[in-house]
Amino acid sequence: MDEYYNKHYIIVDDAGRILSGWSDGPHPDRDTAGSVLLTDKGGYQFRLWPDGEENPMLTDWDGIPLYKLEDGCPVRRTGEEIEADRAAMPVPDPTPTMEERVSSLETSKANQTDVDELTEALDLLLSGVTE
Amino acid sequence: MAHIVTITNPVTGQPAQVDQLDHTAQQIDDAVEAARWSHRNLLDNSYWSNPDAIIDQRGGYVVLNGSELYSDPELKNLAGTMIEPALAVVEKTNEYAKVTNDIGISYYAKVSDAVRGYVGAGYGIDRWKLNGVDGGNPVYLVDTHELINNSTSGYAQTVQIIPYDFAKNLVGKTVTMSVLFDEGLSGETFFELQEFNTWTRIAFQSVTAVSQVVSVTFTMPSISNNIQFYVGTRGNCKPIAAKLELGTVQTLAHQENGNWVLNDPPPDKGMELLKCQRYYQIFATQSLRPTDKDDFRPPMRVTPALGTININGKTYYTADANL
Repeated sequence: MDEYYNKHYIIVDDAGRILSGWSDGPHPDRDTAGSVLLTDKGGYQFRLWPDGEENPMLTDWDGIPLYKLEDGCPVRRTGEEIEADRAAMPVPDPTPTMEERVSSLETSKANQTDVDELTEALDLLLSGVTE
Repeated sequence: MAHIVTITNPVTGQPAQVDQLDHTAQQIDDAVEAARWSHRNLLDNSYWSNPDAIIDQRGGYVVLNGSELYSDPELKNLAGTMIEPALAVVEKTNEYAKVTNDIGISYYAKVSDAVRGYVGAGYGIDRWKLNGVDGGNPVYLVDTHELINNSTSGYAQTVQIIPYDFAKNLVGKTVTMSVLFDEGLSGETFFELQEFNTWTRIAFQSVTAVSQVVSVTFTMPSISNNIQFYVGTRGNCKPIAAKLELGTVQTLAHQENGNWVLNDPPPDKGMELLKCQRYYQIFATQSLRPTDKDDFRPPMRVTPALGTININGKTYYTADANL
């Protein structure tokens, strides 16, 4: 009854980390170029292992892969591997403190006040009003 | 039933007469549970003769053999007459129905030549999966509730898989499965209940008569997998409705003046849709589609596979938790 089986594919990066996975059951037309065939005897939904969870989360909430391919088999990455990926993530620009933001607004407002006064004086000159 | 028995009162140590039930509490609980399920149809979306009552979220169309095909969406350049038995419509607008053949060439057919249906292996109407076995090539036409094997070999199936978590409750119980077929049956036709993955036959019934209920009653054996019910044909058939139920007799249909008529009123479409949406849902807006199975309404069976589908020229966002 081979007709009942589906193919399961995964995308793996150069470090062996599993980036995505799918079954050709729900996704019969997905491009499989560059993917690894995990099994051709799979169920309708994607699993990493025959008795594994259907459509498991493959990354954590930071997008860090949770599994890797080792000797052709998916295995869970260690906590150290995952934390190493997290430490290597680019550090976002620091968020300004409240004091820094208020100071910046005050400076900007002061500058704008000067500009407003200059603009008003210029308008008066151009309109010919002297008083 | 109960009868009087004499026991020793554990508190006083004296003999006392009490009512003793003939059934244990567990037996009573089991009977209540079975009664709750008795004669309920354990299949979803299995009344097919009213096309408007069928749950068909995918909204598929097919173009059939003999239809005129054009090479342009304006339908000005006639390419020929379709020789394939059927082709799935991959894009449908108010002006044309686009099909693509096995070698990837696209053609355009008149909208009037597109009929509701599905071709090839895969899910069609909700909860029912088409499959071709041993070279079979399935086609299902929704408006005429017809299952066709467009092949000279093998057979076509329309299959519903029932999760093990539900099916295990049937073990050891008497179960009846029945199908009512319409006129227009040709070729070997049958229906079967199997254990999924092992393909172990649980019950089987061949069909030679139409316009009457065909049924089989059996005791559910021990199982360790999902089970699947299917109607299969080497030619073509028109199943009107199917029922899988607890009990020793079929309650799908009865005879009136020599004609078989369905017993139950058509299932409540809202309830059928809810049952089907545990397995498949579509959204018009991508951002409104959840990812966690418990955030869908109704909650889905498992974390669904997310995809897209084109229905009448519009892209919809799908969540697929089918088996």
